[in-house]
Amino acid sequence: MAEIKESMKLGYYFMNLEDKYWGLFLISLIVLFFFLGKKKGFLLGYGVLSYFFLLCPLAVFFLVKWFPALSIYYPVRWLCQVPLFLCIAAVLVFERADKAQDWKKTFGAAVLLFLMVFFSGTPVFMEENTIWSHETGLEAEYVEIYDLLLADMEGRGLEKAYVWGPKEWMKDCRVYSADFYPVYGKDIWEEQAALGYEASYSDTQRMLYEFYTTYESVQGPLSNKWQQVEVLADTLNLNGDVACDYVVMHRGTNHWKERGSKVKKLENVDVEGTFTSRNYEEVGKTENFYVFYRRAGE
Amino acid sequence: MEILHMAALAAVLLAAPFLLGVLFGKETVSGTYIAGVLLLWGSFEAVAVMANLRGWDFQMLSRRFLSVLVALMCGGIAALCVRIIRLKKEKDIKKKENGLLGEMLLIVPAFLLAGSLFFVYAPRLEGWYLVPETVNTILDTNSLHGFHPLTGQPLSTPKEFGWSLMNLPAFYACLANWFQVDTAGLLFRCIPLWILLLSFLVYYQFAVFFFDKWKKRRVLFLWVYALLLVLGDRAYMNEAYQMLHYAYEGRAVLTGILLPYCLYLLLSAFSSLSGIFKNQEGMEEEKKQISIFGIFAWMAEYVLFIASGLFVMGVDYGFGLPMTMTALSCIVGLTGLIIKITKAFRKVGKGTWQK
Repeated sequence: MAEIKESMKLGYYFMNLEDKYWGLFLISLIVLFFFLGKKKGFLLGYGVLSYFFLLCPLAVFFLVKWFPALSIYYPVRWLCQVPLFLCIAAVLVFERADKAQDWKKTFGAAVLLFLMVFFSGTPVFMEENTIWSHETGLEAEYVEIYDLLLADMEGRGLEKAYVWGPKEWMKDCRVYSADFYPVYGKDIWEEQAALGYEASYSDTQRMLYEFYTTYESVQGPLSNKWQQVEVLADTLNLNGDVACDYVVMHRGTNHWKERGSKVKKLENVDVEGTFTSRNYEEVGKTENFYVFYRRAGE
Repeated sequence: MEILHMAALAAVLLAAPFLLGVLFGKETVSGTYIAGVLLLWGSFEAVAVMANLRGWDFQMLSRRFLSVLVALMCGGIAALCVRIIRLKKEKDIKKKENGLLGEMLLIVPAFLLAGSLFFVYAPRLEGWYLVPETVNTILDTNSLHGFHPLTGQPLSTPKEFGWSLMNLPAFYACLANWFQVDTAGLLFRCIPLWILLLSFLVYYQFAVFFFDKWKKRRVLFLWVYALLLVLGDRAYMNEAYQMLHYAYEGRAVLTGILLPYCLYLLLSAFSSLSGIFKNQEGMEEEKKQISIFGIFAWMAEYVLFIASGLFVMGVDYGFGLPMTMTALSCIVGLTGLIIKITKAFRKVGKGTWQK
């Protein structure tokens, strides 16, 4: 009983999260009921069955019980064909208004439909997509760093390069070019064991990752950012088993700017001096990042 | 040169499925095209699974699939020639031509609305999806499933057999290899528009099914769908979100194309079985056309649907979920297949078999 209650709660949570969308779906069902009538009632039956089998909170309980892979509710939504029902409902409403031969009703129905759809979500053109490169889907500064690295690799005759950097940067590097080999993959921080890949990371790689998360965190136990950078540089430099040709570091900021947030400047960390004094060579810099190369054999 | 390569890719993506779809003997351009896409994906799935079983490298898979595709396209061209010759003998050829033109005119404006907005607003790349990395890794290593796409390192243990069913990235890698286009251009520019077009074609099938007699309603139906896509960037993971931002992902193909098309096939099967909608022109025509070839074409379509379903399963949530969804797809597809076969036997029993 408690499990069912929990499942109901979970389902209710997701319905609330997208309540308008599901509201539209239910409205479309009602519209279908009124406009299709008995003859085409099987459509309504189909819609109601879809709802109860796929969307109803109770369904979560059974789905999770029988298919453990569906332990999160979202994947179930992939099976829903809500737009189809919305389209049919919209057309039927409009057609009924149009049959009345009253332009006011027709116009009203059209406006109502548009408003229903408009207020049910966010238009694509209101999303903050301007920082994303149209060609690659990546942030423009990331691309600048990737190009910088590729040019440097070409100059040094490297066919591939092991890289370490902020996770937001490192996670996309293989999207840009397969010549980049990140020290650890992005699944290490997403912790999605369900990805299916064996977590074949060494203890050193895991330590690097743990250190990085501490370094990134403002509330971390190490408050002296300079000291953290030094420890990080040492960790990268001294762990010879971690192949790492290039290191990308923030330029004295505590964390990478996320969408909508401001970059906070903490103290004036001498990132450049810290790394160049440890056998790293500066390759170049961008607005927010330094790029270093670890000299061979050291 | 890149533009030329992209243009060649676009031409093949538009022409090849149509030629393959001619083999199914469908009456409409949209139906032909979708059936062709299913055959394209289904045949690739078959070749790719064989490649995984036999340990072929990527280049060999690419070459073998190219020869399969060329053979199928030659068959399609021959079927097209036969159809053209037959059509020329018929008197109502002008009516049919006008119908096909009208069909395209209905689909294109709504598609352009959604497509143009897609071009203006770039897709976002979320962190945990693997398709672009996987395509790059396949191209770089010449191996289908031997390397970790996120790190580029060889996998310490071989993947489960289930992974060999997930070959959408390999399909994209083949396209990138044949036309020498970069992965980002292919996945973020070309493929999403193609998927969007396919989605509109599938929704057009519904429009014809529900509003066969009323062209105005069909147009409205497609425009509402375009609006839902454009204004539907409402929540993470909903259909519109996927179609606009992750159209190259298996899940977008599943929700935008395969599942709706499966529903359409089921609806058409149910309606033709129960006699609902029999007053509509399209269904009457369908009933008249029942033949041995038609039954085989339907069966082939369902089988291809299942193969395509296997093919497009995303690689991001592991094996459990795709298999669950594949199982669901298979159940739905097989139900439709059983209905079709039942109907065929009923026809035989009633003596209405034509050939």
